[in-house]
Amino acid sequence: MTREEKLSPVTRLLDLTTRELDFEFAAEVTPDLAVLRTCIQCGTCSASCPTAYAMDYTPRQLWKLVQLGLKEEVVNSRTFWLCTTCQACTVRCPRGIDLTETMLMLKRYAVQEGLEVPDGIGILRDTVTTKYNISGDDNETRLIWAENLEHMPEGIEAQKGAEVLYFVGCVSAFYPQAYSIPQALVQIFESADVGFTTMGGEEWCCGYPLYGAGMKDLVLELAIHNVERVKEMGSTKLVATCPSCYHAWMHIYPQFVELPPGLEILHATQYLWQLIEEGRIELGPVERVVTYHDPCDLGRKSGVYDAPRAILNSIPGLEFREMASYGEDAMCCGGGGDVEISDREVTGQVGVLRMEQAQETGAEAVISACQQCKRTLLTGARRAKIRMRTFDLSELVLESIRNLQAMEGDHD
Amino acid sequence: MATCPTCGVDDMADGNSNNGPVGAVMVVGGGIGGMQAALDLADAGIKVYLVERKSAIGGHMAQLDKTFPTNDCAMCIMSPKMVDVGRHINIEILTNAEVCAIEGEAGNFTARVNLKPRYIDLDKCTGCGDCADVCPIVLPSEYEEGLATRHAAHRLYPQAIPLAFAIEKLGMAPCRDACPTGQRAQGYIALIREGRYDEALRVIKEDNPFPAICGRICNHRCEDACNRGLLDEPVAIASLKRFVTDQVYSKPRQPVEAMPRTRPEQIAIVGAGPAGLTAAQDLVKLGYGVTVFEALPVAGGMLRVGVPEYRLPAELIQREVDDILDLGVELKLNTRIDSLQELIDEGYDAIFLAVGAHEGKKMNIPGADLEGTMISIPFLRDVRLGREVEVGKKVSVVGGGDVAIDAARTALRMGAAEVTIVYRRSENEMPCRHEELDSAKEEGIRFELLTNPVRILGEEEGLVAGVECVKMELGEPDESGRRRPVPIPGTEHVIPADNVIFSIGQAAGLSFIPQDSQVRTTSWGTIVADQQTLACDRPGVFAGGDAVAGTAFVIEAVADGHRAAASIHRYLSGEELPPLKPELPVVKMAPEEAEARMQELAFSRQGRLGMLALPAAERRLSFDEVELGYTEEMAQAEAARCLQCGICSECLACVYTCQAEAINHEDVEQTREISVGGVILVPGFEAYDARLSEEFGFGKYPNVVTSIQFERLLSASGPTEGHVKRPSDGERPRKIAFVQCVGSRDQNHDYCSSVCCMYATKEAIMACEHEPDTECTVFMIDMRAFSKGYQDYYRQAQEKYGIRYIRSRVPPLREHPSSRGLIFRYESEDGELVDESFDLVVLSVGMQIPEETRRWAESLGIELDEDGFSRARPFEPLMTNHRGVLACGPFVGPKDIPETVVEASAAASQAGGLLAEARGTLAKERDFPPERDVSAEEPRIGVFVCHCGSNIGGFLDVPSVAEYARALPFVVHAEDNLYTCSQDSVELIKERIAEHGLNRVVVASCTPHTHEPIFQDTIRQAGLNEFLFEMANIRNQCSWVHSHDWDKATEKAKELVHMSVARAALLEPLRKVELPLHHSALVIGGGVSGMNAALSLAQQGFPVHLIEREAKLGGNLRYVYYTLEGADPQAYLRDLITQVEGHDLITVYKEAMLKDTSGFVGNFSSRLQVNGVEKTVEHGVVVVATGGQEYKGDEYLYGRDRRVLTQRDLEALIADGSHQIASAQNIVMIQCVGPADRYCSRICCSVAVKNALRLNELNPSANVYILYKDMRTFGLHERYYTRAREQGVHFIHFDDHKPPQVDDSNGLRINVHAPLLNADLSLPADFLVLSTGVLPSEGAEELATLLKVPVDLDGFFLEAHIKLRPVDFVTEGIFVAGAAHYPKFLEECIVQAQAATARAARILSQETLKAGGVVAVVDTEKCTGCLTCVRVCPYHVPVIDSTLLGAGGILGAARIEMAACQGCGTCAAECPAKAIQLMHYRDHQIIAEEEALLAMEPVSA
Repeated sequence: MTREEKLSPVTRLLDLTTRELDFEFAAEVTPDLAVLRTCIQCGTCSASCPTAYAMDYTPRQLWKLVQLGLKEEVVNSRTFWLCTTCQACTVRCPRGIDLTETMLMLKRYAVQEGLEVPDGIGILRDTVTTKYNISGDDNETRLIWAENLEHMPEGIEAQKGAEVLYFVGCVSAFYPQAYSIPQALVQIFESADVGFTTMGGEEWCCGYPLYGAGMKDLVLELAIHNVERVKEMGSTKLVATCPSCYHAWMHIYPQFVELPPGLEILHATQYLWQLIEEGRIELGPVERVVTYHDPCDLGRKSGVYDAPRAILNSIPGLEFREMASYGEDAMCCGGGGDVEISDREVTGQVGVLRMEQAQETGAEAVISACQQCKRTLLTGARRAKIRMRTFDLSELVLESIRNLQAMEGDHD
Repeated sequence: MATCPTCGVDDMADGNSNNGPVGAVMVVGGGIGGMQAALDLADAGIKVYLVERKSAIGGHMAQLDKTFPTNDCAMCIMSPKMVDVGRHINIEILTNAEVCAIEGEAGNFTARVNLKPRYIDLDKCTGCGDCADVCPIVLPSEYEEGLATRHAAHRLYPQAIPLAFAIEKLGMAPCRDACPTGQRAQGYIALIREGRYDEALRVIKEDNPFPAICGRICNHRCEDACNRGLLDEPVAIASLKRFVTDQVYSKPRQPVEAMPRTRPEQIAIVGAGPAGLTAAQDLVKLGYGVTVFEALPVAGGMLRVGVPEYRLPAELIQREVDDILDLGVELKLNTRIDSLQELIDEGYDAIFLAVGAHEGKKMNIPGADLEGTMISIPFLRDVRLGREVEVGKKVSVVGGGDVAIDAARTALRMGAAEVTIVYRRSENEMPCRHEELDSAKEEGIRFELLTNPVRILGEEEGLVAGVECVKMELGEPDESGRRRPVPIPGTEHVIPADNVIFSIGQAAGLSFIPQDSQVRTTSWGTIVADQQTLACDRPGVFAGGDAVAGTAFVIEAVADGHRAAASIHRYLSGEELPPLKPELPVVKMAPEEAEARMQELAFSRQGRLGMLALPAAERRLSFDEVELGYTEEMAQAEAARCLQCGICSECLACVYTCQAEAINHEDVEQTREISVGGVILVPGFEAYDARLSEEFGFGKYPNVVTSIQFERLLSASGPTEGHVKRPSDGERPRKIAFVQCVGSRDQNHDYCSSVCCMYATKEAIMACEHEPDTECTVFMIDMRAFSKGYQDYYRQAQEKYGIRYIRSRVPPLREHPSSRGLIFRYESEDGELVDESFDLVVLSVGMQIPEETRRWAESLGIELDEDGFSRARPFEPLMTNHRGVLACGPFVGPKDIPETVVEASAAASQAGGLLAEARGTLAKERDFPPERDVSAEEPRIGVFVCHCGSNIGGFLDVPSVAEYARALPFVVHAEDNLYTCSQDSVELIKERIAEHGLNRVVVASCTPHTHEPIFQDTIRQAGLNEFLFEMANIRNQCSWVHSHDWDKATEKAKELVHMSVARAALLEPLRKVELPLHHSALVIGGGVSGMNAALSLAQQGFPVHLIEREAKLGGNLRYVYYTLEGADPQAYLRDLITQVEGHDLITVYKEAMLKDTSGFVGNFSSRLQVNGVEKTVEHGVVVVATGGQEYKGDEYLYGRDRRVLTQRDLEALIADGSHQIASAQNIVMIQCVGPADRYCSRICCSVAVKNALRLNELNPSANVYILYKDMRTFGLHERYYTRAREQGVHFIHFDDHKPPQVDDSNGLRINVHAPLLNADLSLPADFLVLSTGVLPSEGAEELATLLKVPVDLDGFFLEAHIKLRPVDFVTEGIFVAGAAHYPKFLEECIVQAQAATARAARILSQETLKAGGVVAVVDTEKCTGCLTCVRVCPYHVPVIDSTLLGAGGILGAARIEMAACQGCGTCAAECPAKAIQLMHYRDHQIIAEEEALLAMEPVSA
């Protein structure tokens, strides 16, 4: 549905005199109904929401319906399927209501109760539970991106005892648009002499797409598998380029399984910054004006704002400008919460808005630290015909390292 | 109660040993609430201590532009009250003060108050502001909310009371603390930054006579202590000091004036080094005779002969020495004292030995006496004095101090090709300055470290050939803390050398001190002297400098010189050791504090600037000075790195400037213990710090401002002079957004701040008033316009000014990169998402209790709730958990000005009730001599013209104004004063009155608004009637407005003085007459307000007549069965009635009506009809407490369908235990029914919440729907609204224009459009409950007519002023309380009743009424009885008295009761027959003034 279609709100009729009001339902779809009930209808959530314009009920309206016990209207709404789970509403709610979790619980409720769900959601479930990845490709081909490298890095596949286990993630493994990210990271690892490996074909989807689609229960099997593999490999650090994988490992797996003791889980930006601070990575000049897009799973949901900025600020020659909304206020790219599966168009439109903000900065390129954000922003740029490039931070770091090596080469 | 947390003392003084209560109250907090409480108490004969944390009273109200809903100027209405407080004889204002402990019990408390130093003497300061003008420290102004700056010497705002300035000083800067002489480094740095170099030198020289020297060679411990070092590098303090002298000394030296000799004693000083000369300077300044003996041919001591020329040019030393000698010091050069005894015998009264340490030594090793070995001290001295010195090609210097480096670098300049420093420890342990070390290295000096000579090798001729050394290693630390060097066997080696210079320590030459002189010396070659006083064992002999300390730094020698001089002065004055000075706090920062200060000052990290220096190659062979100093730009940039640790820099510019000598930088904190009978806490609130709500970008985006900043932008006295301008570019904002509930109604503030909706509305209206095409939008959750006139104000805002109100809070703002406007998206009421941009965003910040107030209150043992508000007792809303300690204002809950004022008066009456028997025991009255009768005298006028420091004197010719006045008719004396209002000047005025027999006084100075009372008091003390005084405001009207035109300002001042003199000649003495009064009250209405008023008055000792229309007391409270807070109102009511009916002083008349009232304040007479019987009572005051009534109309089937109830009906049913109610499944409430549609009845939302909560308790599964326009649960009631939501009560907003519909066709159903859901809801209802609002009581209007007091459009009684006189009527002596004034909660009625009694007690507590003075007087012979005066008088005072004979002998003329007349003069101006004159402003007095103006010859001629 486009914005224009939504713009003729029809007054609905809600006759409570003939209805059975369902407060048990209300209690089931939010972490604490008493807290949800303190909603003062201020509208901060609706105004913060990147996709509210496409919703049939705005978030503010939806909470009122839940409060009134109007289950039918609620479950038939597509509002929660359009939630990117970006958490912008939750961090700003003046009453401290966990709104994002409520959206997730509504999805869960719909799935559990076998209610009508968007087509793609069912397909997603089938794909992930049978193929262990989101694309449906043969899971054995997970390292296909590495084949384009000048050489296959040593020990890339399932080398026990490697210091770092790189959790590649489905998007980078199966979507050619995102191959460049793992390619960049492993080359950085090589140049910094980091002993690393991957699970190769034994890596399964982290489960976050299912979690975001209301299928929390199905995450368990995937989590157990992945955790077992890590235990087998014996690595002490798990590094992910995908913020969703990182978030799943950091915040969702501990709800289901016990993680290997002492396992340090890092997003690639955090690890790269460690390497830079330790002097294991030396950066060369990149003459470019860039801006940075905070991925929601990395920023608002995991609190990682500083590491990517520290890296950007340490690249010589690079001019870094913030967008109008950044950090905790950053706008979502539109690519989260499986919204792309429910409504491709909405994701596309949000991506355009975010790219317009990026363009306002006058930067030549927008940097992110998430393959999904990179894809969404790239699509947004194309749709809006914005001539800006998009990079993952790993790619930028690699470029910077290469530039230094080239300079040193000149001197030799 | 608790121990004082600051001073830790817990044995409280017993201030009041007898048993009765103390007739004094301490009011804590000087905002509007504190001022009101103080005035009410002081007027009623209670002594008040008003304690304020800041340097002036006034609180937040002083910052406001206008007040809602009348758009009065806040300062205009508040300032008179402030002035009253400031000059009230029974109010003592304690500023910069904090109560740190309260002990005792009601009636007998001891309060301990910490008084922080103000650094400006309140008694001497005249408020002229010269100190601020010269203060180099610039800070953001708190009063202007950071939109403007102020100085460290400042007044919070122009109208502040006390008028005196204050200095903000955190303590001593660490640089000063670290310096042995206490150099005020921050001070001269601040002055350098401003380019004020002469002043910088002046403050340096306060503590150090050798700035050029210390700027070069000091070891600058100040820099080690510098807090800036925590961030990057310390400020280059020494280099800056040097820079000052570079600047000033580039001009020729001006001879210094000799000090007058005032003391007979002569003092001898041995040694003209830094210690000796410093002492000489100090002693000569004290008036002593001083002779300095110096063995060398030059003065300066080691500075002159020890430090090489390239570091310290001789001419600088001479200049600084000459400055000292000029003062009158006698210097005898080439005069070696060979015997101390001889000097003593010469009869000097005291002797100071400062001979220095000019003797060096060699190492005790073989070959040390070979030819070519030298000692550094004589070597350097000889070079300096131009004596012949030869060095060879290779020189070794042994030692690691500054002197060793000096010797090495000097040797280089004397022609040595290779110079090696041999030092036995490592570089880290070298005692020399690291700058010196670096310079030496740059110049190519070699270092042999961890190396020690073991012998000097000689050639056969006995000449030095080399030094045999051994390598060392560092072992355990020795007593100096440095690691002891230990030789490494077998590492011997030879360094070839032609010369060896030993620089291994110095000693004094003490051979002149004989063994038996009682002056002891040590084996180290030093003199023994007391560390504190520098006194030697022999009385009268003192010693200091290197001769005592061994070798030390020049700055220590200077410090010793000061100390010696002080000791000698005390010795000669026969005083003991000085009392130890209190230790001043030193501002030592933690790194985070330094970081915070840097942020505050908007600095960025940046290292220090190095000085320019000669290139090493150029300087190696030259004795030219190596370091070249700073340029002006460099110095100012370096000075700007200072973190201003102490805030005040102690630059002393204010001290030099203040001609009233009011500045005292040595002021210290003091503690006072005060006995009081009661305490009132009114500490006020702070605005929420909007920075914490990052999403709104305050502090990040310049065009996001807080509501208080916006007040300042609107204010004509604000930083933009009332033109609203955007901070980013000074442009006028056309679109302004107001964002509500910033720091209110969120998860951390579960309360409503009560004032923001209205102030945002006011600010929006004012913005449109300033610039009518401004578009204002208010983003809100609910509009809370809940008080008198508010709803109408809100309506006007929308209809008249087009202000938009949108029910959406605002998510994160974004700033548009080029326009710097703010962009955000919001949800419209029908669910549409709108993007809009604004030029300026105003954040309506809420109120909160500051953390420091919470800590403070807790330390006093005051119980607070979770948000820090004082916890109220049921039905005693202002009493804290500690009886006798009352709390009021926002400290009890967020509230607006009038409610604060009401509470303050109520607290005053509560305290007054506790202390009734002690009333008047501590209050003072002014004691004046009898008045002189001047009626027979010709006018003899004295004119006093004020310079006001430079405030007037700097802009016009004050002496010529005085000269001019002297020639005016009747003027017998005229003079000009520096400050006419200063203590000495007012004394002078009294003397002049006696001396010249003056009978009129004219002062030409500033505004009578603040200063007239001082002068009136002065002439009254001199026996003149206070009305024989006149004032000309030549500051505001001449020096301020004509500050650029000296001549015109002078001319106008003369004109104003001429006018004042002309009027003064016609002034007449006026006297007040004393009238008797009835000390009793009439209270009308026996509800909760009336009964509380009666009880409170009775408790204060005044008889009360209480009349109630019905047969039972209780009023509306009879229908209230439970409260939101859970208390039992019926039990309270029973108790209240018992108290009232049982009180001896209260006479209750039931079934009684007021038939008629006559008379005036203090003397009313009322006719009552009680039970059909007429009765007359006499009384001094009236309290109107007639209450209100619930509206019962026919809306929504009310009265036709038994299922439709009002809230009161519902409450009664619930209280009755109605089964139907308890089992109802669906209950719908509709708000704003009936009159509540026109005005907000204030209580209905909270009553609905109360009843909904009760229903929910009875039947948790019931659905309770509350249909509302705005939920107006303001203040702490918000908590119950939250609780109701949590418990599942459904709140559904409906639009003003689409009220709900009731349909009873098929059961009862309520149809309502819910805009926020964009849905039409149909709700089932077992009961429909209407919140119908409150009407005034029946008969209120008739009563108003009878009492001649007004009511508003809705029929509620209209107070004298909505903000500041909320319980007074314009008519003196009549007061209003409770719902008669406006719908109110139970607690509000109680408080308002008490407030009315405080106001009444001011009158009743007086023995007699004083009437007259400036009042209107009728000449009945001219009066035609035309009624003009009756109609125009705003106070309803004039009446036509049919018994008086008017003009033409016709009966009926105006009578103006002088006790009631307010002296406004309206009647006098309007009277067509000129029958009324306003005393003191009589026609001929005014006309004389005008004639004087018109008759003026041009003054300049």
